[in-house]
Amino acid sequence: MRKTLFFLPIALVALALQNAVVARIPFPFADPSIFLIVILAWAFLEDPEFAALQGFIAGLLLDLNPLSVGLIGHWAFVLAAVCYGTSEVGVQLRSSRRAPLTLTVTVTGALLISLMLFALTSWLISAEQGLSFSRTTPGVLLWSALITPLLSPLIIRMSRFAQGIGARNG
Amino acid sequence: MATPDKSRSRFFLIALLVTSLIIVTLDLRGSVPGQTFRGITNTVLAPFQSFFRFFYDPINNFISEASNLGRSADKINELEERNAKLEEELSRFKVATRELEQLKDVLDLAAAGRYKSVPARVIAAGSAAGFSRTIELDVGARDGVATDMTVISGAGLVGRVISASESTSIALLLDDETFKAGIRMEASGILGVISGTGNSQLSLTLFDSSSELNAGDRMVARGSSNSRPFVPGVPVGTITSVDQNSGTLTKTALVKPFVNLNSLEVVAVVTGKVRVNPRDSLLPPAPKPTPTPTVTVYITPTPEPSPTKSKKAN
Repeated sequence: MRKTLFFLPIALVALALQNAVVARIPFPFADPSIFLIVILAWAFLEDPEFAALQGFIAGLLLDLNPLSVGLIGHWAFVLAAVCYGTSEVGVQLRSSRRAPLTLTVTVTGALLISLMLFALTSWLISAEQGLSFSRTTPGVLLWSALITPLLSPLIIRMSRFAQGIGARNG
Repeated sequence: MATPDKSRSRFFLIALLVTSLIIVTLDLRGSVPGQTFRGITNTVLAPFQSFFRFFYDPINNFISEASNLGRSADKINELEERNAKLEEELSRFKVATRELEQLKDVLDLAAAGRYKSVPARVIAAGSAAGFSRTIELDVGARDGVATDMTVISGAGLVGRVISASESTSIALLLDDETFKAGIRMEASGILGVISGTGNSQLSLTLFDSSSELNAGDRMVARGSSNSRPFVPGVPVGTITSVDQNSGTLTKTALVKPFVNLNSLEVVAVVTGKVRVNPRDSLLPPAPKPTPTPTVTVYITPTPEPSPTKSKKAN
């Protein structure tokens, strides 16, 4: 519970930063998604149960983002599943998951799977999508590969702190 | 074999997935007051976003100038040291001038079309990973903004308002794939529909396949009844290529919008009804075709030997 209370404001700050700064800068190809990078990297360092909850909350936040126009619950579904999967991979890798390269590769892979799953489910329920998958994905992945190593020390520190809170909480 | 801990977390995941599917289904049925919830998130995010807004200009300037650093790093360093203070002032001045120019342009367009409008600043934008092309404006219901109002910039049509809270509103940009608007071709007056393609160009469909379309033809918004969602006469874009496939009932073409949708800073929302249709008057002056230089050469025929000469004389 306390861990969730620690996670929520950080997710809100990441989303606000995404909306007010990152998405407005005309990056080549497409803008990077700081929000998804933070969520997926954190999920990778967590245990699967909390990662799934994290993904669900983050997804719901993205669905309720005033700037998004899609169906509510769509991103919650996608991110709960992908965060759980990412965390399972992290558990298999144990301590080596904190290496920046491992983190970058996994986060970029998880981002690709999230976008694919989102596009696929959109197609399945014939939800309208404002941007095409092919226009969005290459740029988002490229920036993710470049930005994740820069953000990783911060995310690792936050996740360690959160685990400390969780342990104290029992 | 799955440990009790693992099966517990799997059960938890399934519960979360089912919950989200239930929410999706409810939203599909229209039972979730989505705009109310999004309004709440907006209220929560607003203070964070207004804090981060201060970082937008420095970061944007830094990124756009980063490409110059490698080329002449020494010279730039030297100049930066000497002119640090001046450059900072200049950069602030540049931002202010750019915004002022955009504001002047959009107000000029609104005045020319006799649109009653509210100028607005773009304060946030939808992320590409969110699969939507939206922007957030700093005007809302208290400024008279409501859903389905036209958003314009100095160059022309930007999009339409899709939701408005008390102090902010969200607009859908015209290159979003779900965007559609009626248009009228300049001069000929032929009607058609443009829709976003998710790419930088728009797609134009004319219902009359016999009508003549050429690259370079321009179009304005046709306007909706009661001026919502679109006021008439707003410049939309220029045709870049025409689909020559003649076997279809409709005629299609690609259109480049007049507005650069990736660098919007100041726009305006048209809040009042339009009484007089400005027709084509808001379009920028048509580019004049460059005259092809012609060379006239005068040749004096040299006198030829007798037989032909005598024939010519006849």
